[in-house]
This record gives sequence, structure tokens and C-alpha cells, in this order.
Amino acid sequence: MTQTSLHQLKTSVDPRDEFKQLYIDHKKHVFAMALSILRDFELAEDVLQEVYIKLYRHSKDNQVTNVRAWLIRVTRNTALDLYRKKKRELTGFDDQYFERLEYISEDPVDKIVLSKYLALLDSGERQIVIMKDISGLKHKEIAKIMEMPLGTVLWKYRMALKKLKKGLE
Amino acid sequence: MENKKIMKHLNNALEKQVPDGWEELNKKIDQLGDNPMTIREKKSFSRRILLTAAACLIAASSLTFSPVRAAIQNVYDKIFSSEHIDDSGLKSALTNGMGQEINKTYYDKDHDITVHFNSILMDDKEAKLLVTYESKKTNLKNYYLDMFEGFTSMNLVVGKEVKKLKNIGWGSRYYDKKANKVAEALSFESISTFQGDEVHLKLKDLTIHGKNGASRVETVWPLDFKLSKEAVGGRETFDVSKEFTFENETYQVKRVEFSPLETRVVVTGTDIKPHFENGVAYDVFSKLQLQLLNARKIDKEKGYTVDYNKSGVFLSSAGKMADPIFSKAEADGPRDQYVLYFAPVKDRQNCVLQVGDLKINLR
Repeated sequence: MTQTSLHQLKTSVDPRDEFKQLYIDHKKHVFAMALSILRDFELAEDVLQEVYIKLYRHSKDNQVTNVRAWLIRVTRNTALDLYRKKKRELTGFDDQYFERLEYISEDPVDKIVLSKYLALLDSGERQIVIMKDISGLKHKEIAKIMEMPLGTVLWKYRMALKKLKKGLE
Repeated sequence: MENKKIMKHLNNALEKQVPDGWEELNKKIDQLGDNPMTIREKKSFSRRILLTAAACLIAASSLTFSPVRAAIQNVYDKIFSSEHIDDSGLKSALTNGMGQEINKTYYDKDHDITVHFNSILMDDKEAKLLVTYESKKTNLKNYYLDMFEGFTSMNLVVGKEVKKLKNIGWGSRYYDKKANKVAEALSFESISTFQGDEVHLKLKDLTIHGKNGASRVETVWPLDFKLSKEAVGGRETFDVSKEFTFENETYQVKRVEFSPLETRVVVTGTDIKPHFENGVAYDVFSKLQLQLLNARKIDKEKGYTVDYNKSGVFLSSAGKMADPIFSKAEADGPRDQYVLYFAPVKDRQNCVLQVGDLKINLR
């Protein structure tokens, strides 16, 4: 292959396909972060759509080099905005609310773990667990995003795991 | 259930729960009527799979490093005193000639990683081990000697006992993309009490911080040397009792400590205390700490730097500024105290702490 044809091949990639690939690569992180704040599948899905529209618009005039970090930060802000608006509707869940949610996984343990994660952990703990264990961020990065001292992030993370473990006994 | 298993189930459940949603999003983008955009991720999808596979392969096998005769370098690699290392205390100590040469190299033939231990230096509270590693074949961008939250550990061997040394802050790291070389100033608890003795250290495991979390490269690098006085610096401590008020909180400077690696200003205050939530004590930022962080700038190439144009907490000595050292700003300490870390100063009699517009003479 000549250099020219290689160049042509590179530039022939449809930007929409590229964007779709980004969506596929990161949508779990976005959805999980939104869910950790909102505890509502439908609202988390709305945030997922909104955040990717924001990414599409933002990237027209700006270069986004670390897409995952950008997405997590914007998702957190978008979900928190929505949470503040919907606070009255989102709080006051009864004990059975999380057991009644429509879980798609067929594995009963997956369902229990997700329902306990949503029911037992507080918002901060849920976010830290998602960023650490699902999105693979370092505690240092999480502390920056959460605007918390590192020691608090580490402590909350350990507490969250302890709570989950106990709740699953 | 083990933590790892819990997280696996949580991940699976979330994976299934994420809606497809692309068709809907695609339509919304069409409705925007904008021109196509370009987003440049650092790696292509296929390349990422290859790299992940390569990382897994490396993680699955133990590296067998064997010592080789290293080409004698300078006592320390110049990179450690360059702008790429975000610890002005370390840089100051190095340029003042402090440090004991170790100059030991390990090479792994299978993965083409050469690890070079440059030198070691310490005061009574913190040791710095300067290490570089490079490769022609393995991309080292995500490879860390991470003792802070990775798998890497530093062990001190005394007789038959092995003691794991605690990290201090998170040290400094610089990855030179062009040379595919990493320089790390590992930071851990001091071993200065062994001055004059034979010391046996064992550094274990490289950490790979990949997109899907951390994995490790299992390995052990032994380091044996007699700890010389060139590696060890002393500490001078002065009690201070200076009170000041900042944003309606009252603070008291209790102590100032000077070493060749740092200056510590120890402070107590009305908002330097744990916050209780559901019976659990958490640390929270005090107003003083937030003020310190206000002047912190994060640079991709240089790590933490100081923005003197912003309001912050600074230390001046005989009219010269001593940079805050942000990389160890959250080192462990008593919960009712906060330690501000700055670069070493020459004039220890004439230090002024600047908190926003306030100036507090420390002596």
C-alpha cells in the first residue's frame, strides 16, 4: 500500500461511525455514573443521551483528548443538575423500591448486587465505586472530580465495599 | 462474597442495563443539522484491543529481570531535577548535591524493559528512590511504580523480617513519550535510622493503569547497599505559636520544620477536624486547604505546578518564594492538624506564610 492510499483510507472514516464507536466504548461509564446519582434507569438513559449530544457539540470547536474523563465529569454535573431539579421525586424511596426495578440481567446474583448497590450506598459512595471499579479511575483522579480529600475518597470507598459485602451476606 | 466477585456482578448487571440508544441519539444528531465533528481518541479501537491483550499477556507472566552491568550514568538522571518532576524539594536537594548513588540496572529480555535505579536520598521522615525504566518494544505509558494505589510495594528486609514501607504522598512520575521512558521519584517512609548499615530493599511489581482498571507485572528488584551519610539529611524543628483568622476560621501555626527535602508548616484550626456522617468520621477540606489548592495547576507534562497569579498559600523566605509541594499535600497525619509542604528554604530565620492577603511571620 502506498502512502497516498493509506492517507485516503484514514480520511475516509465516517466521523459518525467514529462517534458511534465512542458511544459504544463509553456508554456504560456514562450510564453507570448517571445511575449512581439518580437511581432511576430512565433518567440515567436521558442523561446518557444528553451527555453525548453535549460531547458532539463540544467537540466541534474543541479537541477532546481524554474522552472518558471528559464524559465522567460532564455526566456527573448533568446528573447532579437533574437531581437538584427532581429532588422531590427522587427521594423517599420505600424499602422495596429497588427490588421492584426492572433488571435486565438474567443472573439473579447480578440483580441482587445492583439492587443492593442502589439501596444501601449513599450517592457519594455509589459514585466512587463506579469511578473506581467500573470506569477504572485512580483514587487521585476521583478525589479531583469529587472535590474531596483523598483520605475521604479512600475511606468512603472502603466503607462502600464493607456495606455492600454486609448487605449481601 | 469477595469484593472482586461483587464488582464483577455489578459490572455485569450494569452492562446489561445500559440501553442501546444509538438510533435515538443518531436521530437527535441529525436534527442538530451540524457539520460532522472529529474527536481524536488517542488509540483506535483495534489498537486498544491489541494493547489490552499485550498487557494481559505481560501481567500473566512474571518478569525475570537479571542484573547487568550498567553504563555508569551521572549520580542522578538529569530528568529528576527538570521541570517534569513536580517536587521542588527533591529538585532542590539534588541540585545541592544530596544523594547516594545506587546505579543498578535490571533488564528483562522477554519484554525489553530496562530498569535503572539511580540514587536514593532522604530526611528523617521521607525517602526518595529515583528510578527510570525504558523499553523499545513495550509501550510504558500506562506502567507505574505506584505504591500509592497500585500493586507496587517497597519492602525493607532486616534479618529474616520483611517490613512493607509506607508510601508518602504519591511521589512524582514523568513519561517521556518520545523516548518511551519513565522517570519516577518513589516516595516512602524514611530508613534514615539505618545510616552506616547495610540495607536490603525489595521493590515489588509494576502497576499497569489500563482503561479497565489496574493490573500488575509481577517482579522483584532487590537493592543492597550501605546507607551513606550523603543520602541522609537532618531536620530542624521550631515551635511557633502564631494565630490568624482566614474566612472566619481561626488557625494556629504550631510548628515549622526544615529539612533539605522540604519545609513543613504544621497548623491547627477551627475547621481542621473530621466531619461526622452517620457516625463515621471523614476528613474534609478546611478553608486553608482549599486556599492552598486554589493556586495548584495541573499540567499534563509537568504534573502539579504553582500558579502565582492566583490567590493561594505561599511561603517566602528572605524574599524568595518556596513552592508548595502538592504531591504530598495529603500525606497521613493527625486529623486535627494540617501540614503545609513547601520547598526547602535557605534562610530559616526569615520565613513568612502568605494566606491570601494575610502575611504571618513565622519566627
